[in-house]
Amino acid sequence: MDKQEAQFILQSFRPDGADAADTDFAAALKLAAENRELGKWLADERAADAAFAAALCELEIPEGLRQHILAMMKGDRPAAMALNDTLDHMFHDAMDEVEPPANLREQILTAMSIGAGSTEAKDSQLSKAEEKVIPVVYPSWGGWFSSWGRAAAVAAAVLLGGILAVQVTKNPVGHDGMMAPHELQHHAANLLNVGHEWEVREADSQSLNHWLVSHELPTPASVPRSLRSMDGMDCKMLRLPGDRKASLICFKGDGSGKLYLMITRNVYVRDNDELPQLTEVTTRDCYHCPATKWNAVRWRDAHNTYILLSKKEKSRKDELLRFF
Amino acid sequence: MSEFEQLVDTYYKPLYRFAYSMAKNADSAADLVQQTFCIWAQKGYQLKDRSKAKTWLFTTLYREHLAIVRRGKHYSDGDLDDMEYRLPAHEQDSGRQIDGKQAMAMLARLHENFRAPLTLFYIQQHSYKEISEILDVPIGTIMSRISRGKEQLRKMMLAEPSANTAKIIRKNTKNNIQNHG
Repeated sequence: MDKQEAQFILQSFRPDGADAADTDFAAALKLAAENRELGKWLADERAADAAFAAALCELEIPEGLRQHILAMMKGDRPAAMALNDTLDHMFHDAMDEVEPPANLREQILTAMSIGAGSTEAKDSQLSKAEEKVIPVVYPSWGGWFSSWGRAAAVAAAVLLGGILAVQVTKNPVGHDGMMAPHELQHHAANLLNVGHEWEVREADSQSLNHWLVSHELPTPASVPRSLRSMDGMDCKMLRLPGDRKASLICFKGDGSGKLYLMITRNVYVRDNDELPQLTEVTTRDCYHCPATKWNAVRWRDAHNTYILLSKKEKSRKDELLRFF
Repeated sequence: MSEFEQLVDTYYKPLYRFAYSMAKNADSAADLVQQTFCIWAQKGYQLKDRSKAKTWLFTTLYREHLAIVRRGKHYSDGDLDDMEYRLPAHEQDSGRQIDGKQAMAMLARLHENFRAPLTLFYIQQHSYKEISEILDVPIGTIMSRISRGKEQLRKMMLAEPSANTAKIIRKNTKNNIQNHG
């Protein structure tokens, strides 16, 4: 070993001397002890390294980082994140509770049937038909504004309409076939509500994965530990808008009822950046949809978005966390 | 105090320093550290040899960082990008010439290939063998990157030298030149 080689090796020698017992350094250290010039170089090198290391150790650590880490382990989140989650949660629940007018469904169906029948009709007849099926009677404006309460209701409706209009303009469902996580949740819940046929029955995890891969469907790579050990799973392919696919898996291993897991690729999901990773899921990620009556937890990994569903009362939505 | 709490107390500071060096941003660094401990909470039980916890945590943090970079997700603007990294021109001989931010700012100007091993080296938690394991790079390459990374730091510091550190660096640079020349 010459001086140059010794220098090269000793440059990886930690400035606090923690590597003194490492045999790889022994020969280089021996040479430094015998060679005055090399010994002097090593002393200076260690002094410079120690100064730099000491400077790094002075780097300010964010106040509260330790508390945040420990709090997160207990299922809480830092305040700033919690605020966002609370707002998201509040708006999500509020939106779910907005009910359409009682006769809207009938009006749509009537309009559709007349529309279909009128394809052979003349434009003038269609106009008459349209006028006939939308017999909206507007109350007088004076009556509407007879009280402040109604004025406030109108203002709220205008605001809500504005929000919805912006939302629809910004993220039109079906424009690119992508769906937001809560839309995927509705899609899966509605399918489960109306009934369906499973394509795979009573599968173990190996055969389930094999089937999913052979059908180019996303596999449950990032799921709670307790679900991984469950066998006897049912599964089917779920079609999404834009001829995109998702996996729908039914877990029956738990005694408290069936669980359903929907998995789809992140590239088919919009606005899913805010979803937590599996390890970050807390009570704030548990949702109840009053429209479909399903509880859900949503998360994502690098490739897929996951929605775990259970049909339970709202008061039991946090029970899903026990699988995590 | 629980085992987890002990682990956090022992490693969250050096993990944060390493994360800061990688992300160049205080908030992203804190996120990386939190994410690392989250993963530990989920998978740490699989580690039978608890003496490997330190290497496991740093490896996990580095992989999380790489995953973010690979996904094309960018960290928000770095705190260190516009920071003055040079040493103060006139400083008392106090034995300390740079502070933590300046040290980080200098590291931030290195390519990540040099920055990652050099930061792990300077936070004094790891031997070059452990650094090799954490970064999944051969030992010889790690030694070479530490050596070359130091050389680049020297050049930066010599650009505007001050007080003791510059003196030491000058001496060593001179010795290096003599040895190589």
